[in-house]
Amino acid sequence: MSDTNRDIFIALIDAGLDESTILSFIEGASVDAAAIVEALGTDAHLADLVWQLRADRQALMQTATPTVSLAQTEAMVDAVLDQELIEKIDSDDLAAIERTGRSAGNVRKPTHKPVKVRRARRVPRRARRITFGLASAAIVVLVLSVTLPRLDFDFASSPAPERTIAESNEGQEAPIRLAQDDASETNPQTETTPRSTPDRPSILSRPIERPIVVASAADALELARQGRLIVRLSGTRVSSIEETRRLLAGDSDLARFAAVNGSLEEDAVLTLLDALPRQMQPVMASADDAPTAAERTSREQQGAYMLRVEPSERAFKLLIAKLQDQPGMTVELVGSVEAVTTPANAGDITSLAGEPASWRSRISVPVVVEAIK
Amino acid sequence: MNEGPLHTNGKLPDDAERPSDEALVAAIRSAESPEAVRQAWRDLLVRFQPLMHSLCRQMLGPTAQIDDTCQDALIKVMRGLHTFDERARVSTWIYRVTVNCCLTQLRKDGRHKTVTLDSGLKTASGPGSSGSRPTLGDFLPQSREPIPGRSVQQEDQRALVTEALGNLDPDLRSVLLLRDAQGLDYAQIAELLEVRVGTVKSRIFRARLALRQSVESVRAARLGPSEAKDTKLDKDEA
Repeated sequence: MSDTNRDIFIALIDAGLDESTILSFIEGASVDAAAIVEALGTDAHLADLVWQLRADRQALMQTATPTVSLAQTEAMVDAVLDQELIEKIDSDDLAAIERTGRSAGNVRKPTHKPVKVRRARRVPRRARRITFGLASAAIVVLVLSVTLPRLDFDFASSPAPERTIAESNEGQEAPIRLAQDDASETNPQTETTPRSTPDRPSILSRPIERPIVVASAADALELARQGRLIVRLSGTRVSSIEETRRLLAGDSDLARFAAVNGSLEEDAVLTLLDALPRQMQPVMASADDAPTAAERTSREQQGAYMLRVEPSERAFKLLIAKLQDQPGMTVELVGSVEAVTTPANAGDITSLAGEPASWRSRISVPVVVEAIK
Repeated sequence: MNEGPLHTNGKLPDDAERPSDEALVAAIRSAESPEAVRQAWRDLLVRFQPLMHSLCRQMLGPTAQIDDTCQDALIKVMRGLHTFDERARVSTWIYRVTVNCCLTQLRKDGRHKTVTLDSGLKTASGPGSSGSRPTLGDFLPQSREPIPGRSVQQEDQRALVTEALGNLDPDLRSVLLLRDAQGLDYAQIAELLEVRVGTVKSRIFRARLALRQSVESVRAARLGPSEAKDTKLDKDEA
């Protein structure tokens, strides 16, 4: 206690008052005010101080004037509810997304304990990834240790070149929709992608002259790996476009699906715009009120952003679902003729945040936002 | 945030008709459908947001962080409800969360520890800046203006107190605001701070003295050094 405060307490005691009584008097509680006033009369300074304390309290009580309107309260509460009551889209939701082709509100689950759930899931998922990674590495080492000593490295006598994925899948229906007329033309010399699977012809197996639009996360992932994916978001409503731009500008829940690198520089934007098809119709309408083809006259670029996405189908599904949730916006997954970003090596570790165990590779996905006039 | 009709600071006229805070929490916990959960949360948060916002504004002073801090507090309420064991009142718990968010924000800003619980008159422009040991008289107005609340404009006094409040140690500020501005009783504050009622009373009394001290410092700063010196001399002579 400071000397000054001690003086005050001594003065109070001298006046026959205690802290609790004087506090009640200051706060206007029903105390024997006359007796207190009389007691304070013995010390003018103390009396003045007590009156000042009463005045301070009165002033403080007046500062409690509320400053928010009901509309403002509701807006803030709704924003918090939107953020907190959207449980992470997990595997169940993914199934729903796959069924419906979009993550509508009815596949979201509210939760009483969002964070607890979120944290509880994050750790095991990461742990599973690590375990899976270690197990895979062990298997690879084991296989190599068995097979390497038996390999014959005589390249001169190597067998005939392997068939491309496209060749091996000749006759099968391609999972992607090509927007160009000559989409069925194939080039047997085209390269395959690292993740090409036997039952899916690679996009790279078909050299193209015009941009294509794909509809599946797997194809989008493949294009992204090749540096050819451009996500095009278009809409007519200013509010929807602004909302989308805010989403992509960072500091939004999009960060759960992808790292937002922010706006692109003008040169990069021009490259992207050149790579985009001019009159292509969207194949993935995200909302009922999405603009119709008849309404379109021109497109105006409103922003371009770069996302860094984990190179997995799941991550791409989540990202696409999230983008499709933007009301009034249409999502197109465009495959450009040539790479617009640096093709990714699946082994690249481009996100080194946190502990080494949490390092993950990411690939670049440019997103262009356009207003349809 | 300054548009439209204002709340009545959480105290709606039809208090008797609306469900209790505890009933709202029970509704959240028992809700099963997503819509019911959202509605129950909305009811609770809309009820408390004005109080929380008001407390944030008073605790943080004029800063752009008020809305953000209030939003943080709302999120913490949502995320922490499962830890609320109903031994305290819902309102008390929500106040505690809000105060903690404000204190965290103040720590981030580095705006704290000016007039502390046991401080003397430390501010350079304050009445005790002469270096001599402060006296009881230093707590009193140095000008010969009439005592506020009697004839001085109440608005001026409110502005003075608001500014002085900003110089107070956040712990003192919070206890004073909870009592005077938010109208919590001693038992509630004791519950919130997890201390005894006697401790709360003692802390509030000291907070009042600290505020008084701060008010006088602000007043002196407003008057300017020469004017403050004159009035100090006048008072000593008297």
